[in-house]
Amino acid sequence: MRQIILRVLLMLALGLSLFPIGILYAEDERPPPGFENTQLRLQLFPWSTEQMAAFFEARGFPASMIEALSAYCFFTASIKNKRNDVLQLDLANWEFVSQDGKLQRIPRSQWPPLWKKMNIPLASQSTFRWMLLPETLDFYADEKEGGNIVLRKTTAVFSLRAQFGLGENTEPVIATVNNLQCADAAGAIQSP
Amino acid sequence: MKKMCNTFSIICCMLISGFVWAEDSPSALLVPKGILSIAAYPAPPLELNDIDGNPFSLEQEKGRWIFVHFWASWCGPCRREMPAIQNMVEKFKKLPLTFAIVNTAEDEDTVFTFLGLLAPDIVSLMDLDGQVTEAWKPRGLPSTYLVDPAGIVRYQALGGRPWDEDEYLRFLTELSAQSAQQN
Repeated sequence: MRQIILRVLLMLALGLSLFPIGILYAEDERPPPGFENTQLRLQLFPWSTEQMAAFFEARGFPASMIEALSAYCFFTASIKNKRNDVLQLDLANWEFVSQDGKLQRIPRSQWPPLWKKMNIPLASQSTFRWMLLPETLDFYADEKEGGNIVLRKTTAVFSLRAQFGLGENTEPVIATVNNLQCADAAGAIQSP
Repeated sequence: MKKMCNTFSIICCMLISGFVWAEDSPSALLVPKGILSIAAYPAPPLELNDIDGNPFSLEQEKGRWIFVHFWASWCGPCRREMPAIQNMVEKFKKLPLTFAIVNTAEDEDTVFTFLGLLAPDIVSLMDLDGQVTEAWKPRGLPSTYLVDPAGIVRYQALGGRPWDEDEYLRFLTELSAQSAQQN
């Protein structure tokens, strides 16, 4: 009898000791913010300024470029077309909205003049460009592509309403992602 | 008898035209998943040095199918795909298929370290300023095109593919057999 009680107590102690680990594990395994239905999967991975700077530094980006980029908020978007036909991405149909109104997304076309003015080497410009999500892209059946989205930094919590086209005379697919935040929104953020 | 001769000649014509169509049209092949048969267009220029400094020109490789692949070390799917490409390259050493594996806008040290770990037998071409990649307008990285022996882009692969799997190897073997027939 004594042995049984001891064993039960031991198992209880073991269970209690593993409980916080379970919670931590569950927290680490939280999926990134996103949207999924039968037609598409959209995931958004926020980058902190430090992560972004470390990544670009490792790719040999000039310090001036990294400093300029640190004024922005980065998300890597991953999109998978789960349909059997084409899903049309057009970032002009994506809206980032906080309580204070629409957030400004920096389109691909705004970067080259800035890089030219700053004399950024072509290789760094090219890598940066390839890391951006295309402004428009027709996703084929089962295709998955990803890339960065750049916003003006904000501490606000915001939502994304992303509209994907399905061709003429067909209702678009709307993906909504709520409770988004720049990765280092908690810190003091200065917009340039 | 005359009628039989006419029918026979019609069948012969159909057979011959069928063979010609099969040779001219790559779409007659069994195309693996994720490979798109696209509207044909002339391949953009591709003249680069490889990591050892040896020059490569797509123009000079005409007469063979060419596997043109764009990649970068920072791209996750490229990392996952590269070992499969190395396995495939090994298998095609004796077949008339040319590989143009192009690194986009990275330096020699980065490419050397990356390939040394994942695919030491691959000799990458170096698009140091990224401008050749730009001209090809890939959908993203990684990106692969298949260029026919006349220098026409015929196929595009969507994202990274398991190139060392049977269906892909069979497909590429059939393409390279076409090059051999035409030479």
